[in-house]
Amino acid sequence: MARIDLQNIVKRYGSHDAVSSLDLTIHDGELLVLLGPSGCGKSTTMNMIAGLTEPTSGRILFDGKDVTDTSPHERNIAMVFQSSLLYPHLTAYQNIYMSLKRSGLPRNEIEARILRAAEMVDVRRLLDKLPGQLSGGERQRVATAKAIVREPDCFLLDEPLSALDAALRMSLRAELVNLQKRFNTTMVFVTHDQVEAMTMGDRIGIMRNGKLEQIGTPEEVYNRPETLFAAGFIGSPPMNLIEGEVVAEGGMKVFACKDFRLPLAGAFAGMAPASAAVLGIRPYLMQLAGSGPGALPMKVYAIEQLGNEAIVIADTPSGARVRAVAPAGFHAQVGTVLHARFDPADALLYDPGTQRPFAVQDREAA
Amino acid sequence: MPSLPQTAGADPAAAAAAARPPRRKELSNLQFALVVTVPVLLFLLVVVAYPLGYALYLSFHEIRFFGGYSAEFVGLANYKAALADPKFWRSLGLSLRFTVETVVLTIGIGLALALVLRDLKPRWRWLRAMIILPWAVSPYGAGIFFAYFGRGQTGIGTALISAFGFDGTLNLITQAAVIEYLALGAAWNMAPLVAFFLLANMLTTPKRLYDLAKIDRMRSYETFWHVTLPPLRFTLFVFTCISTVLALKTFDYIFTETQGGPGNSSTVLTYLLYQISFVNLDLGYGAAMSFFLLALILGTTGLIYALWGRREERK
Repeated sequence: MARIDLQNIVKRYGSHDAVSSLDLTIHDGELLVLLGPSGCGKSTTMNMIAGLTEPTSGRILFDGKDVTDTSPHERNIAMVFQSSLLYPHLTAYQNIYMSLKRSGLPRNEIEARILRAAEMVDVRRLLDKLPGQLSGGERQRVATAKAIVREPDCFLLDEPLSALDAALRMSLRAELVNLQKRFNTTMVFVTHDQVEAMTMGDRIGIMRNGKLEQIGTPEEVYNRPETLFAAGFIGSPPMNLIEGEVVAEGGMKVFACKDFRLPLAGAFAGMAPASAAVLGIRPYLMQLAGSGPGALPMKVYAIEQLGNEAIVIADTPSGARVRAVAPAGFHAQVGTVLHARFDPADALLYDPGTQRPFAVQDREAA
Repeated sequence: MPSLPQTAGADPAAAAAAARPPRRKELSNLQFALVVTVPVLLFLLVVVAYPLGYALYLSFHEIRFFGGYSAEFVGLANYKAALADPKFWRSLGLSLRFTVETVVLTIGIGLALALVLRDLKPRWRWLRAMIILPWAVSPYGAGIFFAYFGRGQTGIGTALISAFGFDGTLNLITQAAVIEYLALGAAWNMAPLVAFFLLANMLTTPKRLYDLAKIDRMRSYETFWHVTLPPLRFTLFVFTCISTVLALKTFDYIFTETQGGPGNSSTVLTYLLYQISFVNLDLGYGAAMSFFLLALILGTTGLIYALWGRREERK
C-alpha cells in the first residue's frame, strides 16, 4: 500500500507540455480516477507514476520516498493496459507467471500465488488458454490476475475496459471496485469515460491540456464543478450551458440572454454584474412547464426514451442546444415549442474569461 | 463470398408470372473456383506439366545427338548412375552447404536490418525505402558484382588489407571459402526483402507490450524473445522456406560469379546439372539427376514444414 505524491510534475515533448506543473496526492488505499479527453495528459501522468516515463521536472514520492528516478519494479506497482494487453504467445498461466518470474520467490510459492490470484478473478479454468482463445472479458480478468499476483503497493489501470462492450464493462467495473476495496490497495484508474469515473472513483481528477482541472469526490465534481470544462464533461446527459450576461435590476441580479431572463437566487444572487456569463444547469433540474417569465423556450429536436425517464433534446431560439429530463413516456412532435423552468438557486454561473464560477461572498451558505 | 449469378435471358412470359420469384442459379464455391482457375491450370499444364513429363521421359532414356538423334530406353540406369557418381554426392554436399549458409545469413541479416530500421529516428526513416535496393538487383547482376568484389585484383579484400598497411592481394573467392562468399552475396540480395516484411510485422506490435515487459522486469533478450519475436515467427518460417528453395535452385548467380569454380569448388547441384545437360549434352542423365534435385527441394521444404511450420499455423 502506498500514498503517492506528485510534486510539480512537468512532462515536455519538444515544445509541447503533455503535463504541466501537476500537483497531485493519491491517498493510501484510495481509488483515484484520472478522467479527461484523449491527449489531456492522463496516460502520461500514469506512465510517470509507473516509472515508464521520466518526468522532465518535478518529484514523485511513494510513501514519502522519492522514486522519481527508479524503475517500475522498484516501485512495486502493477499495471493493466488498454485492451488488457497480454503476451499473445504465452498461456494465461505463463502470462501471470511473468509477473513473478523475477520475484525470487520459491517455485511452489509462485505457483500457489498464481492459483490464488486466478481463483480470485475466476480464471482457473482458463489458465492453459492463449490470449487469442479468450474473450475480451476473460482477457481482462487474466490481466487483472497478472496484476494482483504481484501483491503490489499500487495498481495502475490504463483504460482497461475501453475495448469491451457496455454490459461487460458494467459488470467488470463493479468487480474491479470490489477487488480494490477488498485489498484496500491504492489504485489509479485512467479513463475518458465519465460514467466509469463517476461509478468507480473514490475521487476523480479531471484533466485537460496537461493540467488538473478539478479533483474531488464524485458528488463534489458533479454538484460543484469548479471549471466550465468540468461542468460540461461530467454528467450524462451533460450539463446545459447557456451564454448570457448578469445585470442588476432593481436590487436584484438577473441572468439575461436572448432566450429568457432569470432573476438569480441562492449563492449567485450576491454576485457582481458581469457582461459575459455562462449559466449551467443540470437537465435533471429542469422541469417542463408553461410559458411565462423565467421559463426557457425551446424547440424539440429529439426525444430519447430511457425507460425510466425521457430526455428532451431541444434548441433555444438563439440556437443553443439544451436537454431536459421529462417523465418516462413523454412525447412531443419534433419542432414543438416547449418551456422549461428550474429553481434559480440550482444554477451555477461561470465567468467565461476565467472558466471558473463567479466569486460570491457567502457561497457556502447556499 | 464471390458468386456469379447466372442471368437467364429476358423472357416476357417469365416476367408475366410475377408471383414467381425469378430463378437465379448461383455457382457453388467449388464451381466458382474452377471458373476462375481453369485458365491458369491449363496454362500451368502447358508450361509445367509438359516439360516435367518430357524430363521424366528423358530420364529413362539415353539421348544421343551425334550420329543422328536417338533415344534409347534404359530404364532406371540413369538414376542408378547418378547415385553411384561421386560428383553428384559432392555437388549435393555443396548445395546443402550453400543453402544452409544462405538461409541463416539471409534470415539473420534480414532480422538485424529490420531491427535497425524499426528504431530509426524520424529524419532517417527514408532509409527504410532505400534498403530495398539490393533486392532490386537481379541475381545475374549480383553475381557479376560480387565476382569483381571478391577478386584479388579488384576486390574489397585487397582494399581492406592495404588500408591496414599490408602489401599484396587478398582473394575472397578461394577453394576453401567460395561457398561462404557466395552465400554472403546471395544473402545481400535477398535479406532486404526479408527485412521489409519483418519490419511490417514489427510495426504491428503494440508499443505497450514493451512497457508490460519493463514492468515484468524482463531482460533485453527476454523482451526480444517474448515481445519482438512472436509476431515475426510466421514470416520467418515463410522466408526460411522461400530462401531454402531459392538457394537450392540458384543457378544464374553462381554462373555469373564463379562458373562453379575455382576448379569445381562451387559446382553445386544446379551447376553440375547444367554441365551434364547443356555442356556434355547428356540429357537423359541430367534429367534423371534433376529429379533428385526436385526431391531434395520438396523434401527440405516438407521437413521445414513438419518441424516448424505446423506449429506456426495461424489458428
